[in-house]
Amino acid sequence: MQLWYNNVPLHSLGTIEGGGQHWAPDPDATAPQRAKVTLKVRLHFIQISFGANRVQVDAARAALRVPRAILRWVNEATSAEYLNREVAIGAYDWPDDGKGNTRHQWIVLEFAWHEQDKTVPYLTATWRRSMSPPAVAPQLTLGNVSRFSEGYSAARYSPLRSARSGANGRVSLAGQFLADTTKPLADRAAAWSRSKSSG
Amino acid sequence: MTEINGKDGQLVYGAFDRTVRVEEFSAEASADMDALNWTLTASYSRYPDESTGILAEYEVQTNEDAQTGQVSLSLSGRIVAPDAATAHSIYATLKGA
Repeated sequence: MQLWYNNVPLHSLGTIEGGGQHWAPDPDATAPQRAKVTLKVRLHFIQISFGANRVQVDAARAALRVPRAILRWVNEATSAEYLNREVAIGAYDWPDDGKGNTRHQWIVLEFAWHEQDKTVPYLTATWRRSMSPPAVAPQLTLGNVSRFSEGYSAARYSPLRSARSGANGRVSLAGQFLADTTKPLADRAAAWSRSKSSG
Repeated sequence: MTEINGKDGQLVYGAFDRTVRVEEFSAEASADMDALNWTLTASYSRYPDESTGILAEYEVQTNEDAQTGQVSLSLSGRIVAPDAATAHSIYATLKGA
């Protein structure tokens, strides 16, 4: 297993073990279209002394100081590339098992990213602003609607009579526009800025 | 935001298809910019029908001055109609009665 983070070959600093992944769909997702994915690996250092291991651990930690970078995961046996995308580095541990085994140290790393499938069918909403004819405003698609509620209220002339002076409806919606998470954060931020400046 | 900023508009969600007035709209980008979360609240009239409905609330008071014996009649209230001409017509009817 070969792993590069921010172009630093972690596999050359130590021996990589694991590769366990976890997919956690967002709780408010109307379909399993958005999930936080985590990848956990152990990086083992087996040197002649604690000091020599410490040098290797510090080199790895220096690479991990960049909080978000491209992670590349390659199976060297088959040359298959399993991952090549921007990820965020999560919490990581340097456990001490208390056995005094200074020749074998390791750190546990966790990388995280979001995977979302924008093609999954879901119910969306549309909005078209009223304009004076013959002008017609464009119809906007409001992305993925995850919540919809509707309410009713009425006012009566007298609490003792049924006749209404008026009745109103109220709707509340919540939803999301999903970004392409295969693109780096800088690209997504730029797209968001463009959409803000265009109104 | 530009499209939301208007007097009203047509909102369609499944079987819901109405002209509504937006009361509140907010949008927030998530920290890692992977989603733009939004909420929208809008209202509309169910009754009366805004295109044809007429609402007239009025009060008539009679006052008599005890010293002079002068009697006065006052009419006050509110008329809601689709247009001004209809409202004036209703007012004239009330005044005539």
